[in-house]
Amino acid sequence: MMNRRNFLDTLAVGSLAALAPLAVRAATPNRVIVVGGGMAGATVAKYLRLWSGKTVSVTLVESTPQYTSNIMSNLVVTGQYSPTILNYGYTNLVKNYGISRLTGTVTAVEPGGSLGAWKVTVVSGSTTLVRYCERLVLAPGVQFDPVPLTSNPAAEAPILHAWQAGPQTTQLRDQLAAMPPTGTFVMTIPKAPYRCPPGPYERACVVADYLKRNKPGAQVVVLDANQDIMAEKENFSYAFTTLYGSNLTYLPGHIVKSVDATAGRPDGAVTVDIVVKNALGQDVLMGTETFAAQVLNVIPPHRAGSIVQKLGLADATGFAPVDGRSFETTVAGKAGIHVIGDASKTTLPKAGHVANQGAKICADAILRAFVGQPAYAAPTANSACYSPVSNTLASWLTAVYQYQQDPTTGAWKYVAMDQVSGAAGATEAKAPSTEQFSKMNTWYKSLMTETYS
Amino acid sequence: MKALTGWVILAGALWAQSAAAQMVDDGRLLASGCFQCHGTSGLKGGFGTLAGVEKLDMMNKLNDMRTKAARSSIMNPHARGYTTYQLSLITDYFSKLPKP
Repeated sequence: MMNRRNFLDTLAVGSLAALAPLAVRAATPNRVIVVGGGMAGATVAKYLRLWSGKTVSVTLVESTPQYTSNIMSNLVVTGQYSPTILNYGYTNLVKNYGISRLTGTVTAVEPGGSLGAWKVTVVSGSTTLVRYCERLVLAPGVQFDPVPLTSNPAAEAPILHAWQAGPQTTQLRDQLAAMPPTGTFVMTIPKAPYRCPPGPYERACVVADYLKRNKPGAQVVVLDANQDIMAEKENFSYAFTTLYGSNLTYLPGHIVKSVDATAGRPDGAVTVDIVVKNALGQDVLMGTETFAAQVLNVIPPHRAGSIVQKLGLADATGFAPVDGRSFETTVAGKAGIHVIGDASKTTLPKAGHVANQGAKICADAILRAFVGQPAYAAPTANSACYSPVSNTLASWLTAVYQYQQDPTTGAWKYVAMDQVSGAAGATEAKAPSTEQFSKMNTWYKSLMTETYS
Repeated sequence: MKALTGWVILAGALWAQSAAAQMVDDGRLLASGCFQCHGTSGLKGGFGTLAGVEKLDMMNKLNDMRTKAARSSIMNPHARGYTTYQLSLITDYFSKLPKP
């Protein structure tokens, strides 16, 4: 006669003998902690639950009660759209997928010993919580480098980047609305890689369009640290020269050296180094110039969010190198930690639509790892985004990225290529149109619904 | 007792296998690139439902897009960006989902 204890022992031994390693894995907890609830973080949390049939436990740690979308925020800067269209909460993700939501900030990540691969400490108000997980996914977005200020380096920069949507978006909107009728709006673009390759050119266009209609004597000056327009070159060149030929000046190879501004004032001056490339591709300094602004919009260079820096997951570029099949860090001793979204270093553009796809690739790889399988060897990512160039016209940019090996260097990376023609790179719309502006609104709603509900 | 143990083990094995099957799906991963515009699992997106659409219909449409100029419509570069094999896996996935 077998008692209950013996029965369980037999079951355990029998299971191990007959079914190892599957049964053993099934008994191991599959816990994932996601840090950051932006486009990438929200998506990975959702798909880990959806694609595992809710068998994987997912905790989403985010310090703010809702996400503020960077996508569409340029049309909030010009006052065309209400800032409320940018807000997305976490209620639907919690309700529809059973994701555990934790409002707080991660203060430490340590090896979890026998209790789990990683021990994560979260400070939530006055409470400190400890959670264990088998996989940790970091989606902290970016942080911005300080602006080099000439007048008082210690002063808190009054200069708005508005490149992280939120309070700065409406502050820049208000500064633009209050700008003198013959004022100059000066914006600076950092060297790539930065968040959203077409974004700064899109902003330049919609601001120039706003000024053309509301302050016809005002000007836009775009100081670009890059040597050329970084995305949708034909559409933005057309906009700069044709639509805004009278009120916008685009200056490539203009790198911010210092900024003179007074705390609390929107105006100031930007001094730039003017740089051209020589035949060897090296930077050659041609001189410096100062541009006076009635409204300053300096977008500084950025790097991966602080948690990535703190854990030593970023390289010299400031972003986190990852295996493109899983977005798992390639840093030694950090196995089981993944970095997704704008914080990761891949050949994919830093943009919301792409972050959503990267997150699904990461979720899929984690689920495969939980059943003892390697990540899918040849994933694809894609970008499909619309950019407004005025209050009625929009362009688009699209690419499908194949994860493949470079025949010369042997390095694996995401490469955009037309499989029919063999042409490399992304594809842009033939020309801006009102039909595309309308589709842009549909695309935005669709993408945000897919990410947040 | 032994029989019961066997059944429990078998159930466990089936559960583990179904969990593995659910967690691993190449077509689903590739097709997930469509979800941003066509909705999660091809449902409730802004640009048309793909769930339950016949594979042949979808392949015909995609092949048609592959013959058109990339810049004339946002879907053309998408259709042109995947290999035929990948498109086959993607359409297979959507066609096997229940129609809404």
